Amino acid sequence: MKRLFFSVFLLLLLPLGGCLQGLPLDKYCYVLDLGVERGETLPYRFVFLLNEDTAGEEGEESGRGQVSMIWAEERTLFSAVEALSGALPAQLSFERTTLLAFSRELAESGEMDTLTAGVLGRLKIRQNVRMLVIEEDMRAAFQGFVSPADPSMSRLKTNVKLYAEGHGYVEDWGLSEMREAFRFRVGDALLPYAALVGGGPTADMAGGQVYPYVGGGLLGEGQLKTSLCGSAVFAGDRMVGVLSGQHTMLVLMAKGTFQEGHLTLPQEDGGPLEMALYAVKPPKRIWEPGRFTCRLTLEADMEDPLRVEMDEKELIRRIETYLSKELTRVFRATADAGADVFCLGREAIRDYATWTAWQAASFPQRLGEVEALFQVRVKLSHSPRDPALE
Amino acid sequence: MNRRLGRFGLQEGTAAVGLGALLSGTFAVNLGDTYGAGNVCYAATAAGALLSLLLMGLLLKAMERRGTGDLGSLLFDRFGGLLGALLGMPLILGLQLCAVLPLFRFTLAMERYIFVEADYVPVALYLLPVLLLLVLRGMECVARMAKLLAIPGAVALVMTLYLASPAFHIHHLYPLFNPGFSAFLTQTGEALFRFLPAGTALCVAGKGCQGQGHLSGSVRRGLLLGGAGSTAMQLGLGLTFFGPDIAGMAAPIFCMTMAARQERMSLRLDMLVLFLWLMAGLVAAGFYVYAAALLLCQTAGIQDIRPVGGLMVLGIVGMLLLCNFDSERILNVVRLVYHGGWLLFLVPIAGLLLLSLGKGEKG
Amino acid sequence: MRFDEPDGRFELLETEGGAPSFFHGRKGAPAPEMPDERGIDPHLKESRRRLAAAFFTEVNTDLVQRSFRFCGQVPALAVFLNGMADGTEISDFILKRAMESPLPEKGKGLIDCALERVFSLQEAEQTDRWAQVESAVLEGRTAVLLEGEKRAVLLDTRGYACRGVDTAQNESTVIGPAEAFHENLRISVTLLRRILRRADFVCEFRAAGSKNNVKLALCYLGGVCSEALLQEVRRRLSKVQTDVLLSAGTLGQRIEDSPLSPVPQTLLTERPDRAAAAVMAGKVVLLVEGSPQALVLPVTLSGLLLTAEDSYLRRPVGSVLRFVRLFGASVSVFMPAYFLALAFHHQGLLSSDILSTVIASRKLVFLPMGAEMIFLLLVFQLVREAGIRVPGAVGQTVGIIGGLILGQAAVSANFVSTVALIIVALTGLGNFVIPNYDLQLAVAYYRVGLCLLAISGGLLGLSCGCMAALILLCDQKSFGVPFLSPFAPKTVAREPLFYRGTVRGHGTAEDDMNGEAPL
Repeated sequence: MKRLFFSVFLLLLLPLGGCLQGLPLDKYCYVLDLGVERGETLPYRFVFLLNEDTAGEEGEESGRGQVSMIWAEERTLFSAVEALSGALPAQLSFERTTLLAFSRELAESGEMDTLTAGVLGRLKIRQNVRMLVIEEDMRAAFQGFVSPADPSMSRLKTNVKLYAEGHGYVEDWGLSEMREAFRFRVGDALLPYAALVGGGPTADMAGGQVYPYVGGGLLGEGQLKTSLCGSAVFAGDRMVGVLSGQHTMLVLMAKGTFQEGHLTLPQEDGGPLEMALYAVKPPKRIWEPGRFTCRLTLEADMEDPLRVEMDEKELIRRIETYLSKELTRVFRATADAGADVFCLGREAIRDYATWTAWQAASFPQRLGEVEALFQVRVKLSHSPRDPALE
Repeated sequence: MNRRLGRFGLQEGTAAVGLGALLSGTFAVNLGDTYGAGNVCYAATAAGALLSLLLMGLLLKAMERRGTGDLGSLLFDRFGGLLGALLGMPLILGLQLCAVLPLFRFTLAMERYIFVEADYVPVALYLLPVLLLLVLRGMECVARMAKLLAIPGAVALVMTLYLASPAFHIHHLYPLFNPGFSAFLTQTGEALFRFLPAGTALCVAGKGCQGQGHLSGSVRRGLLLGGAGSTAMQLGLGLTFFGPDIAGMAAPIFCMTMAARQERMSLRLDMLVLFLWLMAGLVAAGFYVYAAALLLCQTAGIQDIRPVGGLMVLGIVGMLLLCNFDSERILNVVRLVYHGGWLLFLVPIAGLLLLSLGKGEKG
Repeated sequence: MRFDEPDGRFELLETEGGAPSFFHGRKGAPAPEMPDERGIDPHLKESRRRLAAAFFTEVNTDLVQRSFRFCGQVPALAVFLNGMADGTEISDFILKRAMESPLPEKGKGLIDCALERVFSLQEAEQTDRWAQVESAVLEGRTAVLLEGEKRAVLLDTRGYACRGVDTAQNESTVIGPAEAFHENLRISVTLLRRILRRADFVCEFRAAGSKNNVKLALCYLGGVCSEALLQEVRRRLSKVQTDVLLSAGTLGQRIEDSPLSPVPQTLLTERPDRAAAAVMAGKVVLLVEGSPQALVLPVTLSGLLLTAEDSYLRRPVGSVLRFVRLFGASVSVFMPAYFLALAFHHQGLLSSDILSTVIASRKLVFLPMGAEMIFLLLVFQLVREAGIRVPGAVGQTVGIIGGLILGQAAVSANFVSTVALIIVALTGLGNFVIPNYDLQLAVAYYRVGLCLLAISGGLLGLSCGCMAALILLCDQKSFGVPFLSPFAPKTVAREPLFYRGTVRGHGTAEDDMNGEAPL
């Protein structure tokens, strides 16, 4: 019996040998970032940033990775991968892909949903890969991101997160969140937006000024420099505009994801005042059908208190008025475009008993009718008349 | 007689029932129908666990009252040989199905997300030798393995919830109680299929437990812990995705861990957590298959459990491979199992309770 | 020498009857030997004939048969083995006393008289079994046979040359006693008794069941050690039938539960303090004559991973040491397999920096990655084995040559990659942290098996392999004690594996031993 058991057991083990088709790690080329833009001859151009590993020469640091860029124009990502695999010494692997970028043109045409559906899972692209919208020319933008000090763009990707947390100029979005926003419309996507320095928009959809936040002299190799300069605003699966960093920060304040940031308060009677803003507590969001009230409590820290020539109450009043006004302006601009970037849908959905009712209501299309009220309360951490000594 | 029952104590019994209930409660869910219209699964899971606890408490009381050490003896005692054996059949089938469903989910997750180049069949075949080894070694070994893997199972649960926690949003639960109260009741009934088998399986192997008190304690604690864990998982799942989104996923628990962006890319814990789940799932499946084989031995008077256990494992693998065929007929059978599987357990148990807990019926 | 003539040298020719069968050993089991039931013959001539037949005295000059006259009158024969018995004791306390003593008065037996009045040695007994005479002589005792007597006197004159008590070589500790067990059974028992000064410490001396007539001591605490365990040990010992028994390790193999399992089911220790601690915990210790190690049984996995030093250090430090040891053992078992699983199937689990480093290190290596790892693991075993087999200082040199020069050369020649070398080196270090030598070797089985599974099935294969190994360990028992207790099944443990328990808790026997009563 024992011998029979062992024989059967060994027979059962036989089909297991080497059947999961694994290749050792040096037989792959790792795609770090994937960009998609409109092609010239075929519908799409897929741009791949590959991790290229070179053995260190004598005396050099070994294993220092470099990146190289390849691209192909194809109808689908699968066919692009197939086309490129034939020309590469190793197979393409998407296991290390951490950034997925789409051109503005594709984002505006609403093709991002189709392009990200299904295929990504089969290529082992993870659901939490970071999303980015790029103004134009994906290859130039990718080149502008790369620097010898940061070949895998890992610092840039970390910067997105850090900026989202530390400055609020952009919001960090992953693939699964984006697809959920596309599909369910319970709050619309607000993806980080990047452009070549000097090539991006100068004004956003709410009339704010757009300028670069990341990049500048920090990163970039050669002539091209790419920077993050705000957020791409989506209404469903279509991009409908751009919000500047300052306006993005206001949206994040109302959404409750803002932690700290920097505000430039324009003054009619003098130069602008610079201050750091901190969220004291999460905003209180009150939704009544047709009416949205958001109560914000912030703390402001003046950067140059001695320059302020007004009393504390007046300063607070000015900051509160400015923020309320700007918030209303941004809300109106995005709501008119049908974009629920303030995520009112998260509250509004509670009024509906079923999914069918929610979808039938087409809430985002009625956003323009919503009356929004932003009540901002600001505390000053140091009085302008009595600045704390550092 | 070689039924490989051995001896096990309170902790081992609790771990076996707990893992069984946790794995079934988390993975043996008909995602399409349960989440398609909304999300009451977390509430139905909790209700199902509590109802199962009540039913199992009554069954244990009946066993105590009749002085039978295991479920097979109780069936024999109450219904006699032939009817007892006939009523044991649905239980055996139910236990087998409970073993297959989580394994199917794991295999699918691995084939879809991890071994993308590999086929479903080789992935499924990897599980066969382990399951066979576990079942042939008997209940003592199963219970000890459950005790050993209870901690990794708990770690998998906590890590899954922790990794997904940044993606938890309360609005994902809305529209609250969406499919309505009737759907809640239906899903509660279906949830019985996830919790009754774990308790039933331990009752089948009751004679291996060190005392009736430990048997009752194991079932109660195991169901409570497993029920709480799977409720937490379903709630976590509901907080991470909208219901209709979950309905279309092959492996929502794996997707859940990937939903939030992790900064430490070098530590892709989500994949490791899936393998912890897999190990716990294998033990749970082994537990069910062993119990099914033992019940068959008890009702049919078979003395050696090994051929029965071996054949049942082969049956499990066969079912696992069948599940992969995307034919409408098989999908309908799977759907039928999800909807009506609980009756396989409820009918014999209810019959036993009626006959055992009546007035003046004492062993 | 002419080529057409055989050279006359000895040649071992296998006859057809003695040839081994195709698959198994020799055909047919040897007939069981009948126990020697003969009594002692009253005629010295017959005794001499028996001795000549048993000891081949014509060629075996070690056996001394000294004839003399007991009390100057009765013909007598003193039989002993030269070298095994102490000559001075024989001359002074046996021969001299026997020749000079007066003949006892009638009515009193000669043998009784010899025991009571003549031989002034501390250990003396009489026997009427011939087998006992032979056995006593083989041990170094002296047998005195008297003409006309059906009994013989056995006198303890053992006095062979042996080394002194030495320090433990393989289980060295920084803190704690240093002495090790001895080949001499008496000395070993004494070493134990010096620690266990208790009346209930029992040493049962018995034959080990081998033809080379080795004795063993079965040591335990009476009333604490489980009677069922003792019965089982005795039962298994009684079944030992072997031609030769040279060490406690051989005996352990003869009485263990699962001979095919790679993990040890008995603990071989050379430290008396460790053996004494095991006895105190309700375990049984077997000491075998000629073996400077004690065999502790039953054992559990957690017991095999403990060292004596754990108890000698303070609790926080001891716990850290134990954690480091467990970490090392885990690295030793899982690291190569985990790396291979990641490298073959789950590259996404490695960070980009690590991926770059590994790929760069493998740029020119021609061996496939899996083969490279398996080859290096084999080389590691080779270096280790070579280091152990060659004597002292040369052994260290072999280690250095193997580790440094060979490794460096292999990397330079693009034979292996640096990353694989580092992983195998770490694995080796982890392996040496495991305190038990048997377990160190056993781990190699699991390591290679898991590596193969990891190559073929990645983390799925690794998980399934771990599960299979765990199932087998769960099912394994050492003398009825589950190998994975106190975890599975749960028992009350005074020495948890992951951290050191309090010294205060050392007042009771181990729960999994099912002892009779607390200490």
